[in-house]
Amino acid sequence: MELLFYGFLYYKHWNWRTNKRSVIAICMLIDFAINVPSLASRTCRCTNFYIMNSYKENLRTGVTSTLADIEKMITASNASLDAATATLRFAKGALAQAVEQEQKLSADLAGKNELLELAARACYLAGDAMQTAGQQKAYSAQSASNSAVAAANVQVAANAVVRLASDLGSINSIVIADDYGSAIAQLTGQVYETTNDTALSAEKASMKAMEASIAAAEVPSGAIADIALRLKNIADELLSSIAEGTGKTATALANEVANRQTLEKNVHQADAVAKDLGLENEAVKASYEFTCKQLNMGLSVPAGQVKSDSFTVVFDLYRPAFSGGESVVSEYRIAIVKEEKKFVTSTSRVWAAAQAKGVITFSDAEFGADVTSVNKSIQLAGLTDIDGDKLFAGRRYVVFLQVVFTDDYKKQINNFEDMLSAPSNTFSVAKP
Amino acid sequence: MTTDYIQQDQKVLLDKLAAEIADAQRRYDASQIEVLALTDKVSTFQMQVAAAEANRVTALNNKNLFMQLLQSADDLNTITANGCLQVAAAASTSEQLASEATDVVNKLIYSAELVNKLSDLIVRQKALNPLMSDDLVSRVAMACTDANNAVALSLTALQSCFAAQAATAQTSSISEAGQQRSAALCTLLSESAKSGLNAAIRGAYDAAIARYETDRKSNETANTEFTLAQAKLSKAQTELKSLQAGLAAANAAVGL
Repeated sequence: MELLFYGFLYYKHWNWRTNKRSVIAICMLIDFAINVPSLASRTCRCTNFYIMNSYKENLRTGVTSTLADIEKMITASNASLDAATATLRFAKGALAQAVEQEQKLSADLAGKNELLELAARACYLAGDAMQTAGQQKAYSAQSASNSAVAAANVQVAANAVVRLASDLGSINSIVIADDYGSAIAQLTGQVYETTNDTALSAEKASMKAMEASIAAAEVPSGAIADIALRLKNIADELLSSIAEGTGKTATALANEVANRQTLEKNVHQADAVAKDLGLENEAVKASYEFTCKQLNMGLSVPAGQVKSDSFTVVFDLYRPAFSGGESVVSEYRIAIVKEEKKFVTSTSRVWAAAQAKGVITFSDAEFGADVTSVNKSIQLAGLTDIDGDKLFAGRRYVVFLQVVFTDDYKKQINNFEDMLSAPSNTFSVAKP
Repeated sequence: MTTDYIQQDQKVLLDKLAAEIADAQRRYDASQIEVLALTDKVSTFQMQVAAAEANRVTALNNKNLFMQLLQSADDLNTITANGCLQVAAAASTSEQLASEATDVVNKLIYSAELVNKLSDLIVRQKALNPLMSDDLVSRVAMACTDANNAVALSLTALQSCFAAQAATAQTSSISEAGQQRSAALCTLLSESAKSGLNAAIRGAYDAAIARYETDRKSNETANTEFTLAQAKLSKAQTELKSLQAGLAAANAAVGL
């Protein structure tokens, strides 16, 4: 039996795993062999302890204990696997966030770089405008100064011309008063006229010079230069602000890339751990199934078939070790027991419950001679556990299978006890 | 038989407690993993929100700066256009002045030559006719001096008029260049094309606001998750401790 058991385990692991994994499988197997004492020694120990009980009772105690040990391993393995799965899930979540953030930052950086270029161009243009305005201011100042000088000079010249005209006026008066001959009189008259005309022009020019000086002074070059300077300063400030923002985003992106790489590594590691634990979990569950099949009549309540109004019990029909073909079982009883009471449930308790209609009973005759395994669907309506309590959702239960032998068989083996299975796996009734 | 049942019930109780402890321990471990993961998440999100907030402030500041820039460019454009017209008017006046001054100088030189000729004539007549008025002679001599002086001053004035004209003409041409540049800047800043700075600044601002909102909401959600997970952890811890204490008491009671 023992050889068969380990042989089966070894065969299963060999099939599941690749070369790399087979090493783990063998390690597990050795570990299992150390941690779960052999059935022979366990039975032997139990025999010493329960010396007064029947052989069947001794075997049952051994099986219960073995199954309980494997169940503990399953529980521990489930816990480790759950933890590893949760770690993996959170690591993946963190990675997804990091990837999203990286994409956002990357898009952000592209936009900011474009913005930076546009701002730089605007800044150059503002710089050009400021430079031109500065030059204009200098030229304009020169122009105003030159115009003022010209106005002054023209004024002085005009004064001199007026003075000449006044000289000629006096000369003309004297010449007209005293008759000095026609030549002098004619020339004087001519000079008098041209100087008067020149004086008029000079006065007009003086007026124009004043106008020109005013116009040159009025050009708002100073204001233009001030505004251009302000413009350039704002453009500089904008450019540096955008450049700073772009730099920050670039740094953030670099950090996020590093962060994402770390998280990728984390996910990879968590994934490897979860995978290994998953394999161990499968192995230990398979060993439970195998043990159950071999030693506990394959008694189980498949989790997938537990509903709000019914559940299914699966078991193998009892076949005696040496049988002439006819059935030795009169009936099967299925007892539902609260999980915490699974180690204290005995044949006598199930019997007591059977008297109180607290178990589900059906005859062996229901099944044909060629049937070896049974799927029994059990309706929850009106059902109680062996304590007589109604089943309710969320509470954990196990089932026991009691095999009631025919009287002939009991006489044949000279043992009038019925056989009680070890507890099945734990299940909870689903909420309606 | 009674003792047997009582012992069995004690075992049931101990087994039940042990199973409950294992279960509570599992819940506690799971909660702890969740709290640890959420602690990281919350701190990451907080940093992201802080960055998004800073980004939003910068984007708003950039937008305001841009509005100022646009306003300044507009101001510059307007005042440059006005200045340009004024400079053009000044240049035109300056040109007229130069031309008038030239006219004056030409006339003056002609008049001065005539004055000199008159002076020669009167001096010769004086030699022939000593009775000629001395006053006239002296006045003509004075007129010659004044004419010389006037010509000299006019030439100076003419020169400075041309200098003024040259400076004003230069101002005019540089002013036109400035006008063109500020107009180009104005066009660049105010164009509403998608590729322009205007659109880019506004787009960056809108994006910054949107990102801040998203990050803020994510952060709030993460904080809520964290608070819930912490509460769950604390509950699991309390349950675990209580069960452990119960088991210790039960073990002590049965003498284990």
